[in-house]
Amino acid sequence: MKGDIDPRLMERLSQLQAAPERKPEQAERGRAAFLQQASDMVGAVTPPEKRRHNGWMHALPTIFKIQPKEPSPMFSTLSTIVLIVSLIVGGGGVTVAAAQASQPDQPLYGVKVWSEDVRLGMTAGTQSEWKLALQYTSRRTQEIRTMIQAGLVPPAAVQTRYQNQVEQAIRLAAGFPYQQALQAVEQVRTRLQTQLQAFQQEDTQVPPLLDEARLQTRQMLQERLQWTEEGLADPAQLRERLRLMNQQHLQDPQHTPASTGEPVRTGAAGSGAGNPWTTGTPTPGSSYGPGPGTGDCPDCTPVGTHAGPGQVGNPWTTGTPTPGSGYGPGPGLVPSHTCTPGSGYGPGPQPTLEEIHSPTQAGPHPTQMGPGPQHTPEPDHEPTHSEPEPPGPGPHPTGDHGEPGGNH
Amino acid sequence: MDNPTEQALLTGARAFDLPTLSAIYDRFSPGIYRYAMRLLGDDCLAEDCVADTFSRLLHALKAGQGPRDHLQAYLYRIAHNWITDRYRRCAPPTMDLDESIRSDNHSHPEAQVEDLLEQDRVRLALRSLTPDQRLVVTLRFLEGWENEEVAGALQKPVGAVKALQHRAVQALRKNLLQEEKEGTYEG
Repeated sequence: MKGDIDPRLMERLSQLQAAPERKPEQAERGRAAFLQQASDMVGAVTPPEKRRHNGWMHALPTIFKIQPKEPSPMFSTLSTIVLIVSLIVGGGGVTVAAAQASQPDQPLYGVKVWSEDVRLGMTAGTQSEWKLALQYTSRRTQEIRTMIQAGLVPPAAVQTRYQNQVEQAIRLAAGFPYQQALQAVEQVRTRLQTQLQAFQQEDTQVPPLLDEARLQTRQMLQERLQWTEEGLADPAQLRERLRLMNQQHLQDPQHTPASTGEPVRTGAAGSGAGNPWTTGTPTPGSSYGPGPGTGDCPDCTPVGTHAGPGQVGNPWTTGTPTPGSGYGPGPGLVPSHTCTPGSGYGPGPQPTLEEIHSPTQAGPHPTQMGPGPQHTPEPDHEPTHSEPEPPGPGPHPTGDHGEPGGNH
Repeated sequence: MDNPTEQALLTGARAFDLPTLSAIYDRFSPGIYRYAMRLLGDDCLAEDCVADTFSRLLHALKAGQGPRDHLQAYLYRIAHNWITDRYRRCAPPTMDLDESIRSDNHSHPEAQVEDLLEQDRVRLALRSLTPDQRLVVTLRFLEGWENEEVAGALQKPVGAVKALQHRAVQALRKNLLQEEKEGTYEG
């Protein structure tokens, strides 16, 4: 036994082993008291009087009544605080969870939007933020589709939010390192294609207002899809575009993305209806783009008349084209320049001289770059273009006369 | 520690046979008193502990409960619970030197005071253990019980008793020997 313990410790413990002996008189007194108590109990060993059968009634309260051994004011205060906090947090959590399935025309939609903002704001890491933004675009798609199918016009706020979240997803994707950015932009492109297809597959007859909303959504998606395609070809180009947009937004934060200094068309091709989402980058084959412009348009962005290589080039470019990127100003009037076959980024049909000299709205960014009779909109001036535009992608006001490597 | 005898005592106790109860008291009360005295350090409290321990035994027997075997272990467990309750209810007692020091021709008052202080230190260290650890340490190292007997008192397997003992010894070593080492360094 003593091997189980340190001898020094045993020595300390042995201080208690020498307990004083019990006093005999006290021992005798204790023994007498014990025997007295035992003899008292002997008489009581006989079975007690039979109880009445209603004893269970008295036992019931003791079963369900839980009495603390001692009243504890601190415990009761603490439990009250915990109860209140859990009710608030739990109730709020239930509300937020219930709001996740709400539609824009329902009262809890504000909670849903708020919870999205909070979650996005609290997300750490660009990757997670990007995934969340992408996820939210799908939510908006579903909401808008559901509303249109229900015969309701989606509120402008929802559409604006949709556009913002799409742009945010693109912006975050473009901010990744090069290889990662390519993959992310590709994912955004795939997602946008899926969403666009979802809108395009709905060919049901809907009232004009709904049709217009659907068209606007499609156009917005097509345009952002174009951004991603540009970004895949040249991520730097996409970053530059986003940077410029950001600058314009900072200069005039009141403007919505549709009015951030970019020319706003009030007439979509063929429809005559305004499209606040277009920023002037038409997608080939999308039936969206500058209309058949024919003549004077005082509010349109003028185009330099000096034809040169690239001057009437690719209207989709807004910045300096990257040599070798396959994307940039087209050959203009020089037919020797050929576009990449099958790339979809060709110069398009060559405009006629008359068309070249006519004003155009094709430039989404009437930039401050370069000389030339360009129309640079004032910060508070949103040029409206109601005049039809020349067909096809017109010359783009690059300001540098389409020279690659032009100074921005 | 003769089991058949203990069993016979239990049989008599359940029948409230007064001679048997008297024999039980005579046999086990001194050990219970020592046990209580070691842990409490107060003879009045130790007497109270003994009285309550045997009183509870009578109440248990009257209610048809009580030990089926290991009467001694049962009594020590009652005493141990009584002391634990006492520890929980009361702060460690202060020591009044005038009343505590007994006259002894063979030792100096300084040595007696030192012994009393040392006993209090050990009691405090024992008090810092969990009730089960304290019971194991006192029964094993102060009462001299074997592991099997302690397991009977605790109603736990022998392995659990060994684990309790190991942890208790570790804690005591930390409390008492570490304190001693620090005192040496300070000195």
